[in-house]
Amino acid sequence: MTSLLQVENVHKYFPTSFSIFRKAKHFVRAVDGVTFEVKRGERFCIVGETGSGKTTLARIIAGLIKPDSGEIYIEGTAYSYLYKTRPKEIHRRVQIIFQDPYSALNPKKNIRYILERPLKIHKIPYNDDDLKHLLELVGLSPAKAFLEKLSSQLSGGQRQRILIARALALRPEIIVADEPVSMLDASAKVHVLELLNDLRKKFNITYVMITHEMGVAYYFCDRIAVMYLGKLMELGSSKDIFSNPTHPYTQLLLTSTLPSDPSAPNILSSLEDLREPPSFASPSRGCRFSSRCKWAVDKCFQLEPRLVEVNPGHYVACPVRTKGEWD
Amino acid sequence: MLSSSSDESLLNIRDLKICYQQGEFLIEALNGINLKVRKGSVTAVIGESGSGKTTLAHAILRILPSNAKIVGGNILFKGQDLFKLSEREMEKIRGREISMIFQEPVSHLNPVMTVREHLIETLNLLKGLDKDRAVKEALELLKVLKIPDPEKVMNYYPHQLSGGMAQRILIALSIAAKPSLLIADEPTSALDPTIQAQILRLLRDLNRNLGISILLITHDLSVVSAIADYIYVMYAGKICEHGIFSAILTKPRHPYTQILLASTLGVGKRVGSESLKVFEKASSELFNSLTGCKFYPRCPYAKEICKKEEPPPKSIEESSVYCFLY
Repeated sequence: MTSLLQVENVHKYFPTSFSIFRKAKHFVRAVDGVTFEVKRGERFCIVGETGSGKTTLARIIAGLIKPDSGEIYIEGTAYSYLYKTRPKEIHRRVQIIFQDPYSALNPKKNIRYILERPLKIHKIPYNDDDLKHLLELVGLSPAKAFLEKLSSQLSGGQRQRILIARALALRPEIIVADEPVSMLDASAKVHVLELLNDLRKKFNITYVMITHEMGVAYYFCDRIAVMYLGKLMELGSSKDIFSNPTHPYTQLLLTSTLPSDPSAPNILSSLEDLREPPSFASPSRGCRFSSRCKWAVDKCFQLEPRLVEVNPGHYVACPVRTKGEWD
Repeated sequence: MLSSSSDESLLNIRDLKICYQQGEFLIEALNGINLKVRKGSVTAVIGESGSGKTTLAHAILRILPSNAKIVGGNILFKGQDLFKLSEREMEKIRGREISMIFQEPVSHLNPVMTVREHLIETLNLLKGLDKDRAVKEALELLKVLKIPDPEKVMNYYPHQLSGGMAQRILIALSIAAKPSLLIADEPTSALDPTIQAQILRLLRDLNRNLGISILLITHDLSVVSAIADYIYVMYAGKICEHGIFSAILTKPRHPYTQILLASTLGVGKRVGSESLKVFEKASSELFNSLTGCKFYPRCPYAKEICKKEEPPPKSIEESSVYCFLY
């Protein structure tokens, strides 16, 4: 597998307050220096909670937002170059599926219109059979009946399938899926993930999936990046993350994941009291996780930890746990 | 009082039927629900979207939307028929005897009031406390809810609170008057996983230490797993199965319960897609005008009778199941 997508030291800040001259004073550092690569055909997951920056990062990869600094490469070509020369190419090669199937579709338009849009925008010839084929690919049949329906007439699971069909229309190489199943019920979740997997095999699609559900990451992903407040805490294969979680935040995520197996021991009693910040204040110095970390030492509050390779392909940003060096 | 079975039940819902009027159509939401919350228990109702579980929660407190029609049945709370109470009498129940917490905590708080103002208002309204006493009691409540730095948090506005913190504030407001029953409608689905577990533990502790009975409504099996004693499984406005939680989980009898258990994802769990293929028949999201069992279109074991008649409850060991297979 070769490297298809490279994310290099990407930063994105959003101003939160302005000085009297409308110059930004304070920022939310949504994505604060993130680097990783995704190989072709891989199922890459970005796992994180609210405020981790994963959705912002997803939109940057999908070409919907431009980073403030850093670069994204698709098969070696920089997004910044494509933005200047052939901007539509990014969207043709990288499509996005959003989290909320209710707000991501125009309720006044029928399915035909929704599926046609990307094809029309990119001037790709199509006919009715092509549209029906898309619906069949995502398991919506009889396709003919669905084409004329309004999205408001469909269930959540069906709408999500429409989003997938729309993303597929341009036969992209990469699909960024931002929490594609978090709003679906248990049985629909599995079916949609299965569908994404089938499509991957059929069309050699590479996925960048964003989720906060560890169960979903376990089921679907080959490689996982754990983000917290804009930074990568740990990066590794699914096996690395689930069998050998090293960063304290990764461990916390896994221990708080409620077991779905009823015979598993109840974790609630052994939960430690979390040091929980009441609001999203991120420390200006040091490790982002330090205020909640039970292993934190003085240096953690002063210096930022770097990602260090602890095993081939497995990176951790925690000198305390990896007995490594700070910046 | 009444018969011995309702002595133990704090809440007794009997054959509840509710519809919604949408234009010229009547959409069935609840099709004859029978449900009991035993005193001191954590009773969970698990159902997917469209099952009617939120309608159930709103019906208890009589906060249904105006287009909802109660077609039949009643709800007994401590033996009293809630539908027979006047609005004035209901107001004495809401927040005082029966309280509720919701899914998205921040949106249930007034954005222009601080935490302090929320608490003072509630304590004044429910317990008639003056400002000073209210502040003292508010701080006590925040401590019970394990909120760090309570003095500081009192001055925050809702938008400054994290989801988990906001939910704790809402829980504080809802237990201020020491209700007998707390209805928790998807209390953690909008929260991050690391916070979810903490909030559930909090609810469990309130149940154990303060004796507050909890009616937990959720679509997430792992949430039920964490704290429920007794569980009702809902599908399309009807109860499919109910019983002691551990019994249902080890031996799910209703086909729908089986599919729910089989398809719940978890770390370390290999979900067999083959076993799920069996359930892949067309899912009918609109169940209206189906006679017989509502699960019929999706059921791999469906028989002729299932299409025509609704299955009655059958008691087996410690559970009850509504299915012609038994």
